[in-house]
Amino acid sequence: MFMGLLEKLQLVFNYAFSSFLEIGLFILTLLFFVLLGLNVKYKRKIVNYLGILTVSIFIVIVFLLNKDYTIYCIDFLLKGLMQYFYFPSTVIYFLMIFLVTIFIIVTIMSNKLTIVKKIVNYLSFAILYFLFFSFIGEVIHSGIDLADKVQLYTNSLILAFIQISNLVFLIWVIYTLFWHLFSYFKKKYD
Amino acid sequence: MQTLNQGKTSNKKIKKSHLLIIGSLLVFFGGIILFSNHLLTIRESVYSDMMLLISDSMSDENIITDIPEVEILPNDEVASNEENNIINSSSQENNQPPAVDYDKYLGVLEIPRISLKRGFYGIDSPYNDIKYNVSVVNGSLMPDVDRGNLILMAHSGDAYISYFAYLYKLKIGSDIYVTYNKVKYHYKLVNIYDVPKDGSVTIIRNYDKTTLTLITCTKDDSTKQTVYIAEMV
Repeated sequence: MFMGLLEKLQLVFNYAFSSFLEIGLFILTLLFFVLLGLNVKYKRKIVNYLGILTVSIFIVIVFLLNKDYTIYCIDFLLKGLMQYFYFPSTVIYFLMIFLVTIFIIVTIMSNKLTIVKKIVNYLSFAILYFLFFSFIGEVIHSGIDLADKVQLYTNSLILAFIQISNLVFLIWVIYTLFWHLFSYFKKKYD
Repeated sequence: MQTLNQGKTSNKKIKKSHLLIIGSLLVFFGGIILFSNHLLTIRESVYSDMMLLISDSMSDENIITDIPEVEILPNDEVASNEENNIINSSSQENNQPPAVDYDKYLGVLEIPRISLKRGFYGIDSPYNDIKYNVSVVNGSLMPDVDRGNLILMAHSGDAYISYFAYLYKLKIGSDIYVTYNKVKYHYKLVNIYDVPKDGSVTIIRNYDKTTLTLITCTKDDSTKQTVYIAEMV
């Protein structure tokens, strides 16, 4: 089980040439890389589209062959995201505030952002900071252990602070994504 | 010519970027609405996991353990090893939603095959209602009672409270676990059958064994209920 890097590479290399199927797979992968690599020079759109199509078809086939497991994976991912949203650990919450601080600095220094975007950013971050400092105040006041999820989330005020913070952050993220998407469309089509 | 030019000018106001962003927003929010039920189910699962965590950390003083004794109705047509036990499967009369509170679970039902892990409350708990949780049916006996029968029911279907939605995937021999009083009891599914949905359920089980009965609506059939009988291993 505990192998060095060279041992692992040796195993993979031996496997790649162990049967005709594996050799065929290796050649196909190499061909795929060579075609796309050469196309960087020749810039043929048809090759790019075929590359995208090939990869997409391959992924779809793999997902369809393992349909139940694919659905399980998606559900697992969604459940993880929801857990982070509804009952995040304080590490995640603190990380979110740290990111917000960086975004504030970027917003202040940026000349590319529109006035509307800057105002939305400042408003969102102000609300997040208010909720965060209220959260800290309540934790200190109630003497809650930050590492104890049960203690944290049986306090309805703390639960409200964290979940509303996450909601505001999520709305800001969605707004930012669509703002960037709109900027891209504007640049390309208008 | 002037009207043509005016037409062209008015068309230019509707920019392609605006149309594209509106389309993207519609796709995004449409997707959320389409999968809202599934997202609510996952949300319920997340809340359930948190409730289990909280419940495990609470003291045992909060447990409601007052369970009424089983009332076996007389039946002339009794086989040598099996008896029919007719029970009333109607839900509680109180329709008022309980205030938000963290009450301790009486036990936890686990079915690994369908990734189900759900706590259930005592019979007298206001949360013991099929509208909110997997509920314990009147007349149930806990797993520590020899030759007793614990009866649990929940909704199936697409709603977020459909905790037994995937019960149809179980097969004879599937493992089911019930944790009660810090002891994990292991059951194996031995029988699956349908009964008409007429307000009562006939339970057919081996009275020499300690059993678990799960009841839910039959998949794709609104006129029947499916009964799953598991025996303790």
